[in-house]
Amino acid sequence: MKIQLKIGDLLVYLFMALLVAGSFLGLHWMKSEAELSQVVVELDGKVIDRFIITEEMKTREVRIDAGEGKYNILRLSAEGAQIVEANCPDQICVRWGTIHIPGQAIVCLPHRVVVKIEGKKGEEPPVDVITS
Amino acid sequence: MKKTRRLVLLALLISQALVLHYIEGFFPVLAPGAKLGLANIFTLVTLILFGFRDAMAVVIIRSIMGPLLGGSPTAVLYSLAGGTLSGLVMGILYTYLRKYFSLIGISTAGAVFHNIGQLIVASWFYGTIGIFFTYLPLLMIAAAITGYFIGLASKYMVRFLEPLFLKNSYRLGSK
Repeated sequence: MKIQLKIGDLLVYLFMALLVAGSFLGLHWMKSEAELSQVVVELDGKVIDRFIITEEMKTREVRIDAGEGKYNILRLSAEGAQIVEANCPDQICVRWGTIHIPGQAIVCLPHRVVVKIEGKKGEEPPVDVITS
Repeated sequence: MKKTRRLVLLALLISQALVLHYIEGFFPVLAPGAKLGLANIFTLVTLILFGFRDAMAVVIIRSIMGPLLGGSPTAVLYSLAGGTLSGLVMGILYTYLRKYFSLIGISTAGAVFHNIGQLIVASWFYGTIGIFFTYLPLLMIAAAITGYFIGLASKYMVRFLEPLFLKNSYRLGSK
């Protein structure tokens, strides 16, 4: 006894192939989504800019204008975010170094500028240490 | 068919499905979650001999009792989601679109939707759709292979059961 394959059976196999292709696409999409962390720039407590950091990105510099001639130069690279130049009096933001872990932030108090890293949506910043 | 007779035959089918469900737990698997789906034979057989409604009854009862028999009550949710979805799909395909689908196609579709149902529950359980995407390709390969043989097995099964169930009722001792 043999079973004759019918036209619908091919549709079933086609549907399966589509599902497989779809899940590879989905996986790829999820991966790129997961690797994204965002650099959020706040001025006076309001978000004025967002940048996405990926591992392949080129280093670039962004000028943050804090008004009245006050500025900070923000360098974005695969390693994270760093303020390389500012005309604030204390220069604390410049000496802060590079931040890359979600939850970290650079604060420039005189200019009321905050640069911070955000992870995926709704994700908690990683825990440093748990003691019991 | 008499009511009692139908009841007894359905109970027999369910118990056979349960036994197969239990036995297939001993077989090695390709991937966690991938199974032979032997119990699906009886869903298909019921679908052919008794119709959509009874097949759904068999598959739902089997999905609830199977994991309990195997000693893992938490698996009821997975089993129920997969079983119900695949039962519905196979029922619709067989009842309304039989012209276009062979038993192999129907059982493969059933296997595919069984996996989809389980993966949806797993994704919901673990809170990430990633599980769905990671496992689906592997399970589809398994479904293509097992679906083919389950379809074939069901065809043979029906050929032997049909005369027994429907025509020569004296063989089973009833009049």
